[in-house]
Amino acid sequence: MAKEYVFGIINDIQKMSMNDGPGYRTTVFLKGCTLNCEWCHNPEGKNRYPEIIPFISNCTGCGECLKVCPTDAISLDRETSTPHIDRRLCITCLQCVNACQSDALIKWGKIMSVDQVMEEVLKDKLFYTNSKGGLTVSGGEPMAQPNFVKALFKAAKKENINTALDTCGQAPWDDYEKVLPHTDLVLFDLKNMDTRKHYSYAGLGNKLILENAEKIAEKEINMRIRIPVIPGSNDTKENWEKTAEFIKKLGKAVQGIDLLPYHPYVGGKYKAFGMDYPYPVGEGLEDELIEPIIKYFIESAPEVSVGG
Amino acid sequence: MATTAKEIKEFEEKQEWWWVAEKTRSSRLDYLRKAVWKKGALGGNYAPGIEIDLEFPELYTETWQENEGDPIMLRKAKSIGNVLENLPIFITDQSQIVGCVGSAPHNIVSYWQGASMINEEIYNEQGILPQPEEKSLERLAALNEYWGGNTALDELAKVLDPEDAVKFMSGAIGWGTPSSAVGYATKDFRHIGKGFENIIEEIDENMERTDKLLRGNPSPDLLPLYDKLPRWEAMQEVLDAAIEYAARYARLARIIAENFETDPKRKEELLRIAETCERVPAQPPRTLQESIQYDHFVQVVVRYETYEGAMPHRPDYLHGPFFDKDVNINKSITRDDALDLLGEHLIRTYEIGIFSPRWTREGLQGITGTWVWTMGGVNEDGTDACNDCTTAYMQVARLVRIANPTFSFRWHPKVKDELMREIFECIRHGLGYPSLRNDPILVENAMYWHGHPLREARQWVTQSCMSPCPPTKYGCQPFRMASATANCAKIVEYTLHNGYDNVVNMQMGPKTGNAVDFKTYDEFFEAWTKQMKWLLNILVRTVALGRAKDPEFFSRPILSAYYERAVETGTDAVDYTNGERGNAWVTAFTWVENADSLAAVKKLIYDDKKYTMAELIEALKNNWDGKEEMRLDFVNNAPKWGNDDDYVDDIMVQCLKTTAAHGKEIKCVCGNNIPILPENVSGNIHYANVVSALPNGRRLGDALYDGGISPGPGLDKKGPTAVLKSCGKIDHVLDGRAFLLNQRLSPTQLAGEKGYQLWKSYVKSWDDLGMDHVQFNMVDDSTLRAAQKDPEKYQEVIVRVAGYSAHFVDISRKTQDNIIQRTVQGLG
Repeated sequence: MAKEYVFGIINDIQKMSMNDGPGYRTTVFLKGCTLNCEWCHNPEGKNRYPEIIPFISNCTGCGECLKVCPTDAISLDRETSTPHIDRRLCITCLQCVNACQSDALIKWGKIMSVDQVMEEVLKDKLFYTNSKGGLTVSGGEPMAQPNFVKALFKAAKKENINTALDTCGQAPWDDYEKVLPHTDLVLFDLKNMDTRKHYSYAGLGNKLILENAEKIAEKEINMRIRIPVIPGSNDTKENWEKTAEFIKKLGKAVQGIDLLPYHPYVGGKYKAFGMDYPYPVGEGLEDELIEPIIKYFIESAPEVSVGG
Repeated sequence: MATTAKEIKEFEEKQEWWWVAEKTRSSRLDYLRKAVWKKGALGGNYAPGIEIDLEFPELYTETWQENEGDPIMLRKAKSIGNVLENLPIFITDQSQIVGCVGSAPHNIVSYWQGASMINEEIYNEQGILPQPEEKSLERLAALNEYWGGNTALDELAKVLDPEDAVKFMSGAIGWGTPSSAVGYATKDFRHIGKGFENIIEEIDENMERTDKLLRGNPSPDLLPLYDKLPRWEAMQEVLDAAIEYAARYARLARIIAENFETDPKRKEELLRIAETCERVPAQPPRTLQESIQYDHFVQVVVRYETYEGAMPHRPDYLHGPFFDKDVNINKSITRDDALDLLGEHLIRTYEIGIFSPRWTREGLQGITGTWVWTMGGVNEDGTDACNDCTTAYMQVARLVRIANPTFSFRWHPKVKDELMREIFECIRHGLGYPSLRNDPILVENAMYWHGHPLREARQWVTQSCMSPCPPTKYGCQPFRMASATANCAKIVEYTLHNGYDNVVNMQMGPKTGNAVDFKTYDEFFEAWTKQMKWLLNILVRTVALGRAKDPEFFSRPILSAYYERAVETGTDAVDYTNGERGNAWVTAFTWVENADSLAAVKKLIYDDKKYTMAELIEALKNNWDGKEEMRLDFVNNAPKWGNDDDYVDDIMVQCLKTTAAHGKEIKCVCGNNIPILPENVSGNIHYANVVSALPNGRRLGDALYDGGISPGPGLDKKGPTAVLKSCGKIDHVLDGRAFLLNQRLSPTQLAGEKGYQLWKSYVKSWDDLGMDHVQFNMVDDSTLRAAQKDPEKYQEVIVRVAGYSAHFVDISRKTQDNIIQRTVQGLG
């Protein structure tokens, strides 16, 4: 049988993932996103191209990366003796990554074929069977690589593995049409019902996203709606009411709603990237803050959970 | 004072399980739990206030001196008798179960007959001598003066092969003492349960019969009988002493009740204690309280004979019928009353404290012994043996929250869902136990390795922490060191250095050739095989001699009275000729380093040819000094066990199969096979300064891996499912006796019904892969603190915070501190 030589850009394959759909799952994180949310929890997934990200706690301060950098983009932080990459000078030649022996400079974005990914996915098949789990693609935005996701899901379905698509909704409908026939569950993000606010926080309006949600629901594919709760962005009574109403209209395709509290620990990641993070760092949303939000959604879906 | 249901719910939500326990247990359990002393050493030192008991060795030594002419077992029985009849006793307020090892609640004991080196260590130990210290030092000096050079171990040293003895005692290759002075033994529960008076009667009959024979026609067959008579006499002596020991408690309880106690309810309890101690252990128990009291006397009394560092036991099986009768059928006590008894059973066991030499304290940190109680499992006919008492033990364990004893659960497919939920709750509450043992696999394993018949094999209990042994007439294993403990990282170390030990600076292993001359990996592995065989052989040889001589040098009257086969034949329980089937194994400490080191050698030296063997050996001899880049290459660019990677997993399986084949060649004193059993206790810390640099990138001084087949910390980069897949490549029947796997799980990820279902499906997969053991560590305080100090090694620690999961090392210090506060454990 001919092999499918379709390649994707992968950030990470996480096994025994318990929060991206039912059961034990293997979550494949794809690189590249169609939105640009300010609070993004996986900033390493934003850009489509491979890039270098320092992982400070692994650094031994050996200085090998400085020696090999052709553009002198790396300097040592005097206090911590750890590398800082000036993104304006870096040409992503990856020489420093090869020189680093302690996994302190990591190249994000690995090009892998469907077969290579499936080899890893199949290793945990026993666990999917016993826990009613399966494969989830996430990102970045998996729909930025629709042909790869389609081929991967097709291969998974051939092995009788449950497939879940974790999507922000921002992709052409034609692309969804390619992927949905091989998808068992869609984890669909709804960030803000106000398209202007959506534009200012996520880089684009929500028109296409809402349309896609309706179309997926019409096809009666199982959906879970995932709502990030971001203080200062979407945490208003008005937004929750409108979101709840919209979900209600989607009908019985919606199996449940997951409220995902904003988590502040991502600040460290941004620091490592040399990026600024516009949200408070170090203070999470306490349960008391999220509890009152649940009541808006109780009538919109059979199940509302916190965390997912 | 009164805690509302709402407050308890809040503690549950915050996962502050120690508060939940304190607020929900009965006032009696609360008092008893807080009143008990912590006897295990933490960080090598005993807690302030803990004292060594001097009354016990003085009473013992006094009688020992007076009876010099007696055969050893009788002499010893009389000495123990003097202790049991005269050592001060006490009853703790609110307590219902009595009996303690030592003359006061804060005492730990030691056995001067065992080993001079331990006696000397006590003399030099800071802070455990009773005040005034000068007087205690005088008393100790007198004891040490008498026993010095005359202990069981001194006697053994005289008969060991000098070369073997030096290597064994070097501390580099093995752990433990080949004597009953420090060990443990399975108990023949069915025999013990007859009641001590009935055992005494059996012995009477045996003596009468023998007496008759000795007065009959002379024959060579009669000659061995003369030695049996004093042994029987000795067994009777200790059983009588044990009955008298219980009678003293009965008298004490009555005296307090009738003369001093003003509370009528407590008075009634004291009288019940008196009645109970008048009944057991002389007669078989009739109620739950009698059954537990009997059991406790059996365990306490034997610890006046020797340091039993483990407690092979099956309490739910033994007490289950009485629990059912009292609680569920005739309803003579309530379920809460029963929980008080079971809870106190755990607390009284926790109270037993025995002095350990420093090397043992490092290996068994924080506990007196590996007291693992076996629960669940099947009956002889294969039906589910779990009962209401099993459930009750799980419930009460969460209320008293002690670290010793712990439970090991014999899991099998017929275990009911309700019980699985109770077990899961214990694990979720951060107790770290029960561990799960796969019953069908281990029954098959016992039949394969030691030839136990099916019905016998189905009765197994955990001998110490891991190895199954049937507590039956011919199944019981009387001598822990029939099983050696090997420091297995030395196998690959000696392979690299031609048998030379660079830490203790002597030729230890055989000269298997200069590793530089090995042309292929196969040649290298052949040398590894020779070193492995040498290591197992020297340990087993030494231990076998120790065991053969043990009845002569140490002697065990109490254990002999506890064994039907010893009572029947008039022999010492440790005597290997009385019908014992044989159930020995070699505990393989620091095992996984072999697989990772061999894989690194194969990959980087033989396959990729990135380094030469000479370069590697040079780097290892210099403890990787100045070769940090090369070391990291060996850490990061060679495959590591536990990632579902066939390259190294195949090497692991090859090592195990080669060793298993040798395990069928070497024989124990009973002529049975000796499989290996990879596990570590905390030997991975103890050996940190004993094992030199290794090709897996480890430096001298680094802690070794923490489990029998657990991957190296931070080296299992593919998560728990990959670890399970790797471990599933081992044949858990053919490749060894049992395999210890530690699995760290996040308490918050397993919250609620979804968490339970995920855990249950994990257990199903574990069974599908045919594995024999797994224990779950919910991430605890000390791990998280260690992770803060040494993030490189704790990268797999996952915590769940405010609705999502994070690798602990990735989050800010402040948040880490916050999480530590939330998940702090209350294990004593």
